[in-house]
Amino acid sequence: MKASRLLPGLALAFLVAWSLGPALWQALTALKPDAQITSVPTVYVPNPPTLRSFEALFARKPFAAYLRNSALVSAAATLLAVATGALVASRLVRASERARERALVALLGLAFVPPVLLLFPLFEAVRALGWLNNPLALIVPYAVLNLPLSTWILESGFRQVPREVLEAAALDGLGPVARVARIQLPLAAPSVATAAILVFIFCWNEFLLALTFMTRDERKTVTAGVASVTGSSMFEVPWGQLSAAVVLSTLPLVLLVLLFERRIASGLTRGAVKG
Amino acid sequence: MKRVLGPVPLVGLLVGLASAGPVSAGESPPPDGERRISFLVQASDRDVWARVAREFEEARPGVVVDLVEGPNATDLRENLYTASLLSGDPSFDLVYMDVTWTPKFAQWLVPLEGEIPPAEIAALLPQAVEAGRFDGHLYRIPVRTDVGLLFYREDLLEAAGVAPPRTFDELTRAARSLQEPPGLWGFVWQGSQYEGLVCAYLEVLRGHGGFWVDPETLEVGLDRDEAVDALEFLRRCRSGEEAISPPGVTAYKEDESRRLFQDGRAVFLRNWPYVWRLSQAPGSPVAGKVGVLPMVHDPRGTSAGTLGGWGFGVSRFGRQPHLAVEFVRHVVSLPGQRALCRETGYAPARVEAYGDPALLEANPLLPDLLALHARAVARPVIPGYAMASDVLQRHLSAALAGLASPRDALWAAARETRLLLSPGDAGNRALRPFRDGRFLASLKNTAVFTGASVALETLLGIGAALLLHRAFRGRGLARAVALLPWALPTAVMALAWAWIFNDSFGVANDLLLRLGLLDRPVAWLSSPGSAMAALVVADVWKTTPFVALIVLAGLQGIPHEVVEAARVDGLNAWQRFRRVTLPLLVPSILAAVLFRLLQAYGAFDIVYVMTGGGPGGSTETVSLYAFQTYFRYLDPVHGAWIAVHGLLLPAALAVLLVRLARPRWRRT
Ligand SMILES: OC[C@H]1O[C@H](O)[C@H](O)[C@@H](O)[C@@H]1O
Repeated sequence: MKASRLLPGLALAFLVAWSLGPALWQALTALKPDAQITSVPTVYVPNPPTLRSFEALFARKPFAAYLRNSALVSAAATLLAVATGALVASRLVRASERARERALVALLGLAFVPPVLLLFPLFEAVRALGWLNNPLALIVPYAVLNLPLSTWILESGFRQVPREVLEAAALDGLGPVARVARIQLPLAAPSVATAAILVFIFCWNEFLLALTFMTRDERKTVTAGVASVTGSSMFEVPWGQLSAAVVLSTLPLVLLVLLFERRIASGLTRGAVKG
Repeated sequence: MKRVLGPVPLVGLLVGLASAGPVSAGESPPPDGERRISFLVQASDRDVWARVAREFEEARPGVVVDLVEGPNATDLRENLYTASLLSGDPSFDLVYMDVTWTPKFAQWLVPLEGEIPPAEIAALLPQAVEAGRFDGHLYRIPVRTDVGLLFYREDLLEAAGVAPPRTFDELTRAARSLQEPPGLWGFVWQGSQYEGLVCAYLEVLRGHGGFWVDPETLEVGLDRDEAVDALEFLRRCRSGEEAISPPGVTAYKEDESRRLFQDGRAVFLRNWPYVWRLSQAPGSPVAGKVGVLPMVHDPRGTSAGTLGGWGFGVSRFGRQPHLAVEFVRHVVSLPGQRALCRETGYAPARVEAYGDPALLEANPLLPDLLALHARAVARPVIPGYAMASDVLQRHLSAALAGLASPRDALWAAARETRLLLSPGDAGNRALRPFRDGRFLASLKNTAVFTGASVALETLLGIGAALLLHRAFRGRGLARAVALLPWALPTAVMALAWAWIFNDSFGVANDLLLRLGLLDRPVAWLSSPGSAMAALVVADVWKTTPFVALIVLAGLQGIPHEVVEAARVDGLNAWQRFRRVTLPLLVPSILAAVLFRLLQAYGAFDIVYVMTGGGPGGSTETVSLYAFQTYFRYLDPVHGAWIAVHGLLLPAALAVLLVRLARPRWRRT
């Protein structure tokens, strides 16, 4: 084979191995019997594979609760972010070109604020509201923080909806909110899906607020929960359980990416390339 | 048309959640008459507390004591309690407190002087009780104490005719003559960057005649010769041909060092009294071979162990304060002290317990401990203790790792300690970050991390995009796989990377050794340069897909004809890329780079999880420092200024620059 064909092939193989490697390694570790986890030289393939680490994880930590909390918080925040984003976007598509550009750029600015900077005021606000350890403490900030993204994506989707359709609906007596819900959202379904998937991923992955606003174990979301798995000394870090936790908390995302790669890619580039 | 879930049901959902409230959501009410109290303990203490709790519960039907397992380093448990109490969370009725926490935690605790009869308090070691007083109130009741000890292998010393050492020189000489590394090391101690390192240093410091902070005058003694000599001693232990401590000692906490000693692999061990019982347990290779000494000293100083110990505070937010007080009184009663100390070898807080036959039989060391306790060296009782300790830990660690000379390290520590003890007026506070060496170091770390990550991921991202742009079978799947790292949670994958870079069992070392790229394993996360490198690798893994994606979109936007025309013009592949594709990609690349720069600059998750900012503060980013200042040192003013100077201003500057540059890259 010619080098010009071989080289890209090799590079591609490396890219795939590199992208999968760390997650794969966790999966292998999670399936190993304890002795093989810390054996030197390294054992690569679990022999025989076992689910013991998963059992131990669930026995030691309320891991099912972490997963439930993450699912609840991410789903609710996604719903909220898409709903409010749709309202903003539907107003934006009616605005003048200039005003729209300005608003979109301003929204983008919000995405540039370093998260720790937002953490302090948010913490005080959430505390004053008495929301600490309440899912709302995460749902509302997540929705707000993801509003720019969902607005960006929905706005470009809504722009594809013909004006005449909206005008006809208005004549039929549909109010502004009903027009969003009954016309724009369904007609721009692909954008809605894209926005929802991306926002969901961001919420599921968030760590800083999750770490600070949920101090009770059974309230933690999965990122903060995983980080709280510890052992009683550095020789006893339960790497098997940790790996099991990593596998479980990343699995939903692996599925999302494999199923929706196209959408994610289009959503992300729409946000970034335009700016 | 189908009804789409609109804003209305959403509002209902939110109202429902809010009214569930922080307390009752998702919890079933306790069965009738059941009363629960709960507190957090380190994992290895769980069994003994379960025993104490069982005795308490047996005499009180319907009472349940919940033990929550926490990490082993005292500082980390302190952070967990802090976060919980700061949010007014009622989860913990009791706070199981280290001797140094009182000033910081007092604001959240119930004053106990009126709750516990004076006679019961008078029965406890006065020094230990003292550590629980703040602002005229008693907030913490000691239940056990600790004092630093020197354990040694009596059998080895006797066989060699070496007398038990009393000075640092004698210790070094004895260790050197008896050790046979790597199977048998001379001296092990706690060198990891955490509170234990401060304890180990403090007694060496006292042994050299020096001091840390005088709690009365707030004088700082870290830049005196005695302090430098003390650190020199620790540094010499693990460096050079004549080292008496294993290089890995800088990653040891109490239990790692104990295990080495107990496995018969160390001659001397600095540790707390709990080691005794474990080392004498059936099956211990060193049973019957261990002696105990007071800490060594030099002619200038006095022998002293660091005063440690644990006690209870009662949370203001707990629902069962009376039951909590009852529990504390039970633990300090003689039966309670027996349950706590007999199996563990802990030194009791109750004076009478030191003469108790049942305890004496289990632990013949008790009378000595009582005596050593009286001349122990205490850590300063000051409100800013956590920050003062972190400052010291960081500089000690840096000197031990060879990043700074002991003198420079301690001078910097002294300067920072003085700064935090007298923060000054508002104007001073606003500018304080710029006089704070730790802030400047975090700026530098952040810049290094950002620069290295973004440069690498831009190059790799462009490469990956070019690869994935080509037509080949399975391209869709390859693209999905390549995108995967971007979608996985950073905090979780940071743990995965910590496992990959584990020094003993990590796959990174194994692969690099097999490939012949390394000739011995690297302790990636415990030496400064390699820890930063490991962070960058993990971040590059995670974020290259983002850059690749944006660049790929740019590539797809380049009309095919343009590239074709260049081919017809006779340009080769590289020239086509260099002269045609790349210039057209510039806007996408710039957008990706800008986005990534701002994101990398705010990095928190990956650092918090993988290195915690260590070793020696070498990977602490601005975000992490601001976070610690706010949530660990409870200094919102300093935290906010750090965030403003370190995060807001740079971000604003970046955005400004982009605005200025924008017209130009529009044109490209
Ligand atoms: O690791 C340091 C800690 O060790 C022991 O637990 C001591 O009792 C405690 O006071 C000290 O802070």
